[in-house]
Parts: sequence; C-alpha cells; structure tokens
Amino acid sequence: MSAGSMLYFNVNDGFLEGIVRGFKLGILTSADYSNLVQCESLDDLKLHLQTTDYGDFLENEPSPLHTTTIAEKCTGKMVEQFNYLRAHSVQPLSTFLDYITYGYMIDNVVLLITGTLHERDPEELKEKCHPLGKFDAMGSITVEQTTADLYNNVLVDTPLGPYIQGALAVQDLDEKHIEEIRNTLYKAYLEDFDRYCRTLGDATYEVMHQLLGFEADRRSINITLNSFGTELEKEDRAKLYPRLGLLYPTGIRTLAEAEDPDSVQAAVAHIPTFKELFSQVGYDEDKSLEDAFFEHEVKLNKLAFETQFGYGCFYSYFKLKEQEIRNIVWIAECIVQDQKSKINQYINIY
Amino acid sequence: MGDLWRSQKMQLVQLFVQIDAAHDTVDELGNLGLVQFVDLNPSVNPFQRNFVNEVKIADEMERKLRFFEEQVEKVNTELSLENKYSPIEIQKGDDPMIRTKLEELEGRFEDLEKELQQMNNNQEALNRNYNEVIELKYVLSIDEAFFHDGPDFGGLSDEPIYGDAGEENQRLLGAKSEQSGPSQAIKLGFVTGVIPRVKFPTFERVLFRATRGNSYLKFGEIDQSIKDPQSGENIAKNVFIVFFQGERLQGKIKKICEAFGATLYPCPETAKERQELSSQVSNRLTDLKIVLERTLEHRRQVLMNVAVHLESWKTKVKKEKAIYHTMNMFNYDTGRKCLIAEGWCPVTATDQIQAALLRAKERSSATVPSILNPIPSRHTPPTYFKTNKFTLAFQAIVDSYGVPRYGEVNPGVLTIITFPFLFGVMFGDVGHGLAMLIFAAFLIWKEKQWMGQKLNELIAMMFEGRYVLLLMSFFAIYAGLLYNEFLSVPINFFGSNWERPKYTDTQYIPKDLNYSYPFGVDPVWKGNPSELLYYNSLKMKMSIILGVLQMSVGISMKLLNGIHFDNYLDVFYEFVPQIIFMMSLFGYMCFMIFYKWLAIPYALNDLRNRTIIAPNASFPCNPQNPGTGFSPFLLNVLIFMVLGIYKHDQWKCLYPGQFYVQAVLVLLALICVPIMLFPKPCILRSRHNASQKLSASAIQHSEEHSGEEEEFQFGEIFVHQIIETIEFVLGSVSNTASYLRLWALSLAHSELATVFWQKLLIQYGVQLPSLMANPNSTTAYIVGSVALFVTASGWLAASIAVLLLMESLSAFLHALRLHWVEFQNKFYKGDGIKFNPFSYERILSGDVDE
Repeated sequence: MSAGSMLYFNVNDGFLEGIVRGFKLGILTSADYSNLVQCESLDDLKLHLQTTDYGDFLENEPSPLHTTTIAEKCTGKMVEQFNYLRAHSVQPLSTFLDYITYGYMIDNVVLLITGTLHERDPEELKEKCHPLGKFDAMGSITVEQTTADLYNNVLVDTPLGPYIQGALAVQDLDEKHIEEIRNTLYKAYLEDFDRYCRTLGDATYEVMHQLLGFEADRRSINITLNSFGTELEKEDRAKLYPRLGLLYPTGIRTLAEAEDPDSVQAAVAHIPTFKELFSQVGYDEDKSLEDAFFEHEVKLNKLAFETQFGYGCFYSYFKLKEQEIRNIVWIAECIVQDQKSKINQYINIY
Repeated sequence: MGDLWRSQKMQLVQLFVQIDAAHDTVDELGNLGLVQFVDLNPSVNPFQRNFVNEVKIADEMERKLRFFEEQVEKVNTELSLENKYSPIEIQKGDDPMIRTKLEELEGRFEDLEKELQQMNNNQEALNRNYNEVIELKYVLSIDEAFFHDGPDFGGLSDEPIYGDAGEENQRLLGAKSEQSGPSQAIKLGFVTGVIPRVKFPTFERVLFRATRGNSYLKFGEIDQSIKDPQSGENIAKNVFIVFFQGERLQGKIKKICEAFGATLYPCPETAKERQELSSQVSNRLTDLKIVLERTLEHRRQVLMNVAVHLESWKTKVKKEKAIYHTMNMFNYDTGRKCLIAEGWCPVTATDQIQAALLRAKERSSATVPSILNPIPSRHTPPTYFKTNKFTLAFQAIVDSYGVPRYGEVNPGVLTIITFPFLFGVMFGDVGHGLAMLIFAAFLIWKEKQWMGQKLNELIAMMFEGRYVLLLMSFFAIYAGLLYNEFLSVPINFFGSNWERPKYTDTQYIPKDLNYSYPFGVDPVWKGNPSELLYYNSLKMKMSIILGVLQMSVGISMKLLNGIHFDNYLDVFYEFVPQIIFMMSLFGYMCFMIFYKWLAIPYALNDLRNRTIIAPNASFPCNPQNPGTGFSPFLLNVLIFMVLGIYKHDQWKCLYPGQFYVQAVLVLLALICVPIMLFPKPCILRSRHNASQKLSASAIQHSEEHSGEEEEFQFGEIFVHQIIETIEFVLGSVSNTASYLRLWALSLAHSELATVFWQKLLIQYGVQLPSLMANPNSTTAYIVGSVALFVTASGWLAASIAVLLLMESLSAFLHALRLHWVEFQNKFYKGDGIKFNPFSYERILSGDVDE
C-alpha cells in the first residue's frame, strides 16, 4: 500500500468499514449490562436481549433456555456478521479476514486432538468447534496419532500448514504435548499475521502490531505461569514465546529464567503496562490476572476504532464481540447457578 | 370548522380499572382504537413490569404458531411431491375461537406441539431408515458393478475376496502381478459405504495420504438425491468402496470414514449373498414406502385441523400480546387493587369510551365500574385528524413534512385542492390527463378488492394516493383545456379568431377585433413561430399570480393561528407587516400584470402599426413584444421601482401617476422590515421582566415552575427573529421566482410532447411516403405503413415512459416542493406529535410495532 491508499481506501473497503462501525454501535453498553444483571431468569435475559441488536435471535427457541443455546446463538450472530463482511470483501481485506479465522482454526485443531485423546465422539467434538475455524478435512484429525501425520495428512492443505513446522519435533499427540503444539501454532500464527499486516500499510500495521503484540505478550506470560510444576523444560519453554510484542526481546529473556510467579512479575515489571496489570491483581481480590488482561485488551480494541483507513477495526470488532459473548455467557451462567455475587465480574466494553 | 381544519380537541384522561376487568377493558378499547396510552413507568425495565409473564407466554405461543405454520408448509411441499393429496390451505378470517381464553389456547398449543414433534421424530426415524435402505440398495448394485469390472476378480466366481485371491487382486492394485506370482497370497479387505458428494474429494485425498497410497478407492454416484431427514434438504451422495491390505489399515480407514460422516454398509463377499440381500432390501423398501405414506397422511390430517384455526389463533395471540404490552404501561395500585392508566383521547370520543368501559365491565362481570376522568396536563396533546379514504393521502403529504402542531391550522385542507391544481398547471395536457384519469379510475374501481391487502410496494404507493391521482388528472385536463393542448395538438372548439387571407401568406390577421376566444388559448398560436413567446409570457405571468396568491393565503394562515392561540404579537408584528410587504411589492406586480392584460394589448392602432413596422413579419401581432408599443417590461418596472426610484423620468409609464403609487408602496415595504424585526423580541423581553419581578416577590411559587420554564434568553430570541425576518424578506423574492417552475415544467412538458408528436410521429411516420419519388406507388405504401408502425410505437413508448411516468413524477415533486417550502414556511410549524392510538386494526395490519 502506498501513500495513495488513503485516497483509494474507501473505494474498496469504505462500505465494509461503514458496516463494521455500524456493527460496533450494536455492542452492548453498560446500561444494557446493568439491565442484564438484574435478570432473574434466562427468559428475562432473552427478553432484554431482544431489545438490543441481537433482536429476535432466540425467537424460535423453546422456553427452558440453556446457556449453551444462548452462547451458540450469540456466536451464530457473530459468524453471520463475519461471513457477511467476508463475502463482500475484496483483496487484501479478504485475506486479512481469513487471517482472523486462523486463530479459531488452531483452537479447533487442539480441541479435536484433546477430544480424541479423551475418546469423545467425533461428531460431538465437531459441534463444539468454533464455526469460524472450520475446514474441510477437520474430521480426520481425530485419526492422527503423531504430529508428522497431523501435518502430512490434514494441516498441509490448510493455512495452518506452515505454522506447525516448529512443532514437528514433538512426536506424540498426547496430553503433555498438546499445549506445546497449540502454543507453537499460535506463535507462528501471530508472527505471520504481524508480518502480513506490515504489508498492508501503516494505518493497519500501527493498530495490529500493538494488538498482536499484546496477544503475544499475554501468551508468553501465561505459558510461563502455567509451566510451573509441569515437566516443561526451560529451553523448550523459551521456544514457545512469540517473537513479538513489548516483551520481545529483553523481557522474554528474563521471562525464560523465571521460576515462580513472583519472578514472572519481576521479569515483566520494566514494561509499565504489565506492571500496572499485575498490581491491579494485587489489590483487587475478585480480579484475576486473566480479567486484567481482558480488560486491557478491550481497551486496546476500542482504541482501534479511533483510527481511519486501516483494517484494525475489523479485527477489533470481532475481539470485542467475542468478549461480549463471554460476558453474556458469564451473566447467564451466574443467573442459572444463582451466583448473584459474582455476576458483576463481566468486562464492560462501552 | 370541519374535522381537518384543526386537530380534534384532545384530553388526557385517567382510567381507574378494577384489576379483573383490565384485560377486557383494554380489549374493548383496542377494538375502539381511540385512546393513546401513556407509559406510566418509563423507568421500569421491560422484564420487571407487571404483566411480563403474560407477554412471555404470548411470545412462546407465537413461536409455536410459527412452528405450526412451518410444519404446514413442509407437509405441503411433501404433498406436492407425492401428488396425491391437495395441499392444506390456511383459512383466512376469524372464527368463534376468538373468545377462548389465552390459557386454554396455551394448553392446546402445548399438546399440539408435542404431538407434532412426536410425529416428526417418528417420521425422521422412518426417513432415516428409509434412506439407509435406499443407500444399501445402491451400494449393492454399484458394488456389483465394481466387482464385475475386474473380470478376474472374485465377483462372479463366488470366491471370497478376503481369501486367497492372489493374482487378480494384485492386478487390481496395479502391482506387477507377473513377478510376484500366485504363491504370494495377500489378504485384501474392503470397506464400502456412502458419503455426501461434496465431501468426497477431500475424503479421497485424506484416504490416500493416510494409507500412503496403499489403498484402492472406487466410487459411483447415486443418481437419486437423498433427503436429509433433519433439514429436509436433498443431498447428492456417492457410493465408495475401498480395498486395502492388512488389519491396521482397516481400523484407520474406518476411523477416517467415521470422521467424514460416511455411513458404512456391510456388503457380503460373495455374489450369491449379495443377491439375497438385495432382494431383502427391495422387500423392505416397499414396506417402508407404505408406512411412510401412512404417516404422511396422518400428519396431513392433524395439520388440516391446525390450518383451519391458524389464522385466527395468530390474530388472537397478537391481540393478547398487544393487550399485555399496553397493560404494562399502567400503574398498579396495590392498595385498591386497581390499575391506573393514562391516555390521550379526542374529547368527542368520551361517550364512546364510556360505552366501551361499560361493555368491558359486563363482559368481565366486575363489581366496580371503571372510572374515567379527564385530568389537566401541561404536555402538548398529540394531533389527531379524522381522515377518510379521500383525505388520508393528502394529509399524508403534509404529515411527511411535519405533523401539525396541536391546534394549528392544518395545511392539509388547502392542499387537497392546491396540490393537484399546481400539478395540473405543470402537467397541462388533456390527453395525458385523460390517461392518468383512466389509471386513477382503475385504482378506485379496484378499491374494494385491494383494500387491506398486501400489494407490491410500488403499486401500494399509487393505490394509497389514488384520490390524489384522480384530482391531479382532473386538473391536468383542466389546464390542458386552458392551454388548448391534446397530446400537444390544439383543438379548435370555437373557431379561431385569426386567419390568413391567402394560403401563401405568412401573416395572420384577426377576423374580429372585439372577439376573443371564449375559453383557453386560441388554437392558432400552437405551431406558430411566435408560439413560444406567447405561451411563455402567458405561463410566466400565470405562475407569478398563482404563486403570490398561494403565498398570501399562507401568510393569512398566520393570522388565523395568531387569533386561535391569542397571540396578538404574531398578528400585529408578523402577519401585518408581512402581508403589507408581500402586497406592496408582489401584489402590486400582479396588479400590473392584470392591468397590462386588460388595458393595453388590443389597442388597435398599436397592433396595426406594428404589423407594418415589425421587421420580422412572422409575429406581427404579439402585443407584449418587448421594446415596442407602450407597454414596458414588467420585470424592469419592478426592478426600477425599488432600485431606480431617483430616475423615474426615464421610465416608460404603464399608467399616469405610476411613480407616486410606487414610491408609496416601496416606502410601505421598507417600513415593514423593522416592524417585523424589533417589536416582537422587545415586547417578549419586557413581559418576561415583568413576570420575573412578580415571581421574585413569591419565590415558592416560582420554584414550582422554574423546572419547566425555559431560560429566557433575549439574544437567542432576537437572533431567531433576525433570521425569520431575513428569511421572509429574501424569501418573498426567491419564493416568487421559485413559482416560475410552474412555467418551466409546463413548458418542458408541452415541448417534449410536441417533439414526440411532431418530429417523431408526423415527420418520420406520416410524411415519409410523400417524400419518396412516387408517393402513390405500392412501395411507398409499404414503407409508409412500416414507418408509421415503428414511429407510432416509438411515440407511444416515449409518451408513456417520459411524459406519463417521468414528467408526472417530476411535476408531482415540484408541486410537493412548492407546498412544503414556498407555501408552508409562511405559517406552518409542523412540530406536532401524531396521535397514535392503541388500535387492533393498526396492530394487525402491521402498521405499528408493539
């Protein structure tokens, strides 16, 4: 993209940008949430959601609702929006949108492998997969025994093919290695996505680099925190850190040495963002580190809408929507399980 | 003064309804459709209201009804495939069911839904079974062919394939069988099944990769598409058979098949067994077919019963939902066990509402009658006009600009005549008017049939405006008669007053100087070289006169509004200066136009002189020929009247004493401007100050009102007045000029019509043979008739597309603009709220969302 891209941006992508910004206005606001948390039952929840942009999406569901149905339908709504955008997009936006789906694909692959390990029914597993990350040969993942097979037989046809090369050294698809595969895939994905965004011009890259960087940092930290007490070697662990984000390269080096949660905090403390996130968890009992991360992510995604002539807002919209679905499901679960005290732990978006 | 002139008198009423009677009361009021309920708990969430459960039940019932409808449609499509039974028809119209209670219906729906679901499940299981059998049938027949294909292969020879089939199998695998020899026996197994065709390519690839090429896949297409029992869609499927070697591969291949959702079927290894199975399968198939048919018939019976009531159930549930939505707006008085409702209604409808309340009381056998009492309100009431099918469309024209403020004069009344009239001025042609009249008459003739039906959007729009169209066509015909144009051709009704003494003459001489053509324009002008000059002059002047007239009427409306609201500030400091301003400049202009028409043109001498003097002999008789005769250019007169007052000696005078009259008029107009500008804001300010002093002495009193009363800001009001004044003064010039669009559009219309008629039809169609070498030859007749056919169809198409559709639309829009801008900005506030009563009629026709 050249400097003229601003001039031509709206020719190709103006319509969809308008659509996505319109979609953004439909994201539930704090007023909606304060209404939602007052609901006594899922039917109340449905009644209220009907007055929002979700509209009559639960209209044809018979009355005793389940949280899973709500989650499914919410995701369905999001997928519908995504497909609309994807169908109307032209290059390079369509590739950009495809990149968004790769993340879901990775999750699906991992889900299928884990499910097969636990000997679940393949059909049931497929239903659980995120609809945005579905691909043709997905079903046959359940057959594969080794990473090499996985690569040779299934993933080679998918965009995930190149990503798995880092994990080929891992031999068996068992419980222990599954997380390694997930993280290797994700690492390669984030780096590749970042590289791709660089080709899309400054407006996109500026936003996306920050968002993907944060995602990478969050993963690095989570990997480290989760590795304590497992058999994961330090050297192997260091290989999983994405080479991206604020922590790369110095933070990662110190992170690689970390041996307990406190040293993780110390390792990332030189970045103000993370210092603040960690300290938030310190004095708020109810808040987990994950929540703090989510909150920060929402903030970053909201900022993406402040820029123009870039694709960042497309990515951000779906991240925000995902968060919104998590919120709705959380609230719905709290209502069903009668955990009113925890109901306020959703993450407000607007 | 009629129902339309001002909004009906509205009142806010409070209703005390006993809780048992509430439902029936709202029901009766919904039938009546004259009360607009006010939401008394706007701050309460939708799911925390009193009757939210009933709304939920209604929602649930609507869902079930949709389910029933879907089922009916599904069965209908199935029936249409079977071709045996007539499809189920959903009956329209109400039936006595309507009286049953919601709760009873709910139970009934519940049972029905269960029954239907049960039947669907059975049907699905049966279908699945049926599919399996069909698939198996195909698997058997196609596999048979596979086994046949390899002539050496075990198929016919009854040898078990799994066994020692050595050479043949190896040939099948493409290995070099000659070298390996029959002694090296290899065990070959196979798996056969059915897979959806879309998945087949990936399946094939994955299979190849997973077995590293050590498998052999053959497939055949099932030519009959198989219905998916769940979604009911038809899916194309493939039969496949995989040959492989070894136990491990078998497990792997089976897993892959599973992962791809393929159905595996056992296939016997010998031909004999296959034949046996095959005959079993066809027996089962016929059995299943009979069972399936019976279930379908049963479903049809059940759904027929549903279909009879479906429409009335829908209405009922919709009504119930609306009732509870309305009841959710009421206040619940727990102490007295009654509901309190507030709503707007026309004062005249009080008796009707009382009667409805009484009916409801009897119906619900409540002990305490409902009480209705009007309460004073500081809110502006909604505006309500009683319209009928004729006035409705005209009122809609006004409403789409803005609903009249409560109590203000409704421009809709005048619009009924002025709108079609202005349209007619622009669309003046008898022929086109007649075509439009026929169309409008057709729409009105269809009225009974089409009323209340869902029409195509485009037709619906025209259907709603059918009476507008009717009046528009009347006035188009009228204006066409005035202009003397029938499809651009003039009609000589009364005999023209002009003649050419000799045929070769280019000059026309009036026969009788004291005679004028009795109605409309003398036909001689049409087609004459001076046609345009004559028509332009006539139409421009007419446009100005009509415009000034309409604007003056608009200003007079301000007077009526001022009197109605007792707002004498508006009367004396807006209406009076405005009407004087308008009259002294543009009213005077109209006077001059009439004067010039009546007093000057037929001065005989002038005419005679000019016929001789005029250099261009083709229009000797144009009385308004600029620069000749006595008459000055009216436009110049008006410009000099204001700008050139000091050089009045250079003027060409229209009448003696003209200068003095004009000087006085200009002075009057100038004086009016400051009167429009200053007094109103100043008086408002002094009034405000006075009230301020009063309230200062009684502080408590003012506190009550201070919340509602807006801050008085002199600056803002003054600026507003400046804007109003400028808008009026400048607007009077530009708006008058804007009425010239009447001339422009009518000119365009008549010129276009002339072009199509004269240039297309006459020149190329009618006159073509006469241009040929031998106009009476057979070729000339043939060419002539073909040309006439082509040009006549071209003319007809152009007349319809360009003149009747496009031109009428553009004239319509310009008439709309003249009303919305030039006419209504003189007086119309248009910031009212439309009366939106709770009425079943509107809810059921889909006019309102709940």
